[in-house]
Amino acid sequence: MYRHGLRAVKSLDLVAMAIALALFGASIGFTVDRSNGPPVVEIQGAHEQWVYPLDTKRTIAVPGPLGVTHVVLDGRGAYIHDSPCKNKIGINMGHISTPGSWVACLPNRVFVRIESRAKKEVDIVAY
Amino acid sequence: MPTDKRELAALLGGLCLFFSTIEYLIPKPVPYIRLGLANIPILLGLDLLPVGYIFLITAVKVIGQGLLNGTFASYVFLFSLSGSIASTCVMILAHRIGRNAISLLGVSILGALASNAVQILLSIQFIFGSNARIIAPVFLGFGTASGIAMGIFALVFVRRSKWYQAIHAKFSNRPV
Amino acid sequence: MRSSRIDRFEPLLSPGVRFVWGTSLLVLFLLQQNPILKLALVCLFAVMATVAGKRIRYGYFATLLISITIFNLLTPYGQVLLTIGPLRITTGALVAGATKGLTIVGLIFASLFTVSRYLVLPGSFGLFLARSFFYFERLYSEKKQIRRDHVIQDIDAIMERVSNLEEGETAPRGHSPTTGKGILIAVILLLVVAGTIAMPTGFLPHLS
Repeated sequence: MYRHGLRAVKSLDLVAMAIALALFGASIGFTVDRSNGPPVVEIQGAHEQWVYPLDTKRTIAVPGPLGVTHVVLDGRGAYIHDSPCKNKIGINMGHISTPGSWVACLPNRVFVRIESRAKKEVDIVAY
Repeated sequence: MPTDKRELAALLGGLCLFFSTIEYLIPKPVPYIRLGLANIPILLGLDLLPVGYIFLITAVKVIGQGLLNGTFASYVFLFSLSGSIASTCVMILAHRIGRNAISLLGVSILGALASNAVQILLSIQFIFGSNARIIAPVFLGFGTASGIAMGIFALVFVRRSKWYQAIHAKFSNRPV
Repeated sequence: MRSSRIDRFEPLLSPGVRFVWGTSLLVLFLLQQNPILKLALVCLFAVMATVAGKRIRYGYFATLLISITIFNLLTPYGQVLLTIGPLRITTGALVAGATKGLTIVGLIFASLFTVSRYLVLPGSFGLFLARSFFYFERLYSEKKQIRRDHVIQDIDAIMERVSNLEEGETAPRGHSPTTGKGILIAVILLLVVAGTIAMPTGFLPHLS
């Protein structure tokens, strides 16, 4: 005997549908919640900008009015390796690796910072 | 009327390829979305054939589609193969374990979920990277909808088809 | 049956030789890393797929390529070319995404001319597949009997008719032998594709 219409739908069918809707909802939630997005290194030069994931390993030559500043990404963070400015303040600022931290060579107009995709909190920068 | 289960499996395999061709002719809103018409014969075969033959039909579906569409040697084949294997495994498990508490509708939904989940993981790994999670809701949403649609079609077909009733009487010892 | 276009490779190469040749081209294609040369190979493969009688839906493949590229742009990498709202288009991500997209599309094109519909797989599975193809071709020949508002009824009727066919018959598998001209064309194309890997790329624009 064949079951007709809605009586053909059985109890585990509704469970399957509930699982499907739960997964669908979870996938939307997972997509919307981007607060744990991976951090990136942003390098701002006089006229150009670069962005790399924090785990990148490469050296970027950033041209500026005084010459070329070399910014090194070592897979854990970033630092200024050398720069044509007189006081080498940017080099002395050392290595940065956490979101919100930065180094700069202002005479050569080079600014390096680590940004995350987390919701922007109050930006506390210590001078 | 097929005389043995192997012949019935070959017939259902041919039906998979037929439905796959029909689906190819239907315009889709988004390139990656598939209706899954070719899964209907697998659903129909669950009550009629042992597990080995169900996998044989799945193999015909995947390899036959690859030969017909010419995508045998591409990523499309890999995605189709992985999704189909996952889907068939889940459908068989749901059908065998659920027994009289689950119909082809529930089996189809679970099969579609399994197929889409595997294909999303492959997309993340090979094509889109971790950003593929953005399209996961689209895939899962369409997959659930198509799973429901194919399940309803299979339920109605089983109810109305004289051919299926005759085949079922010959090859299955389960009540419908 | 699905296409009235002529497969011009069919009289030149047997299905098995064609499959091996096409797979070799595919592997060579995967070894090509330069995005500009990869694009050239994709164009070549598109031409070859058309020669093989396949219809290429360029809109579909363009959408595929663009969507893969866009997804890769979501992870910025390299010099920022353009900022559109929250999206920063960077050189590295753009090139990586386009290269990945071209690889996917190229593989599909290569597959389209590699696989002959008369390719026979060995063993008992090959025989089983051939039997399924027989049923498929019988079902497909009745496609026009299916009416939109009587789908289940019509499919049911077709299944009853097709189920009662002679057992043992399989779909006719034409076997065209490999000709000298076919071998020549295959070797030339192999050399062209292999040549793109070996050629120096210093003269090409550097993309990264």
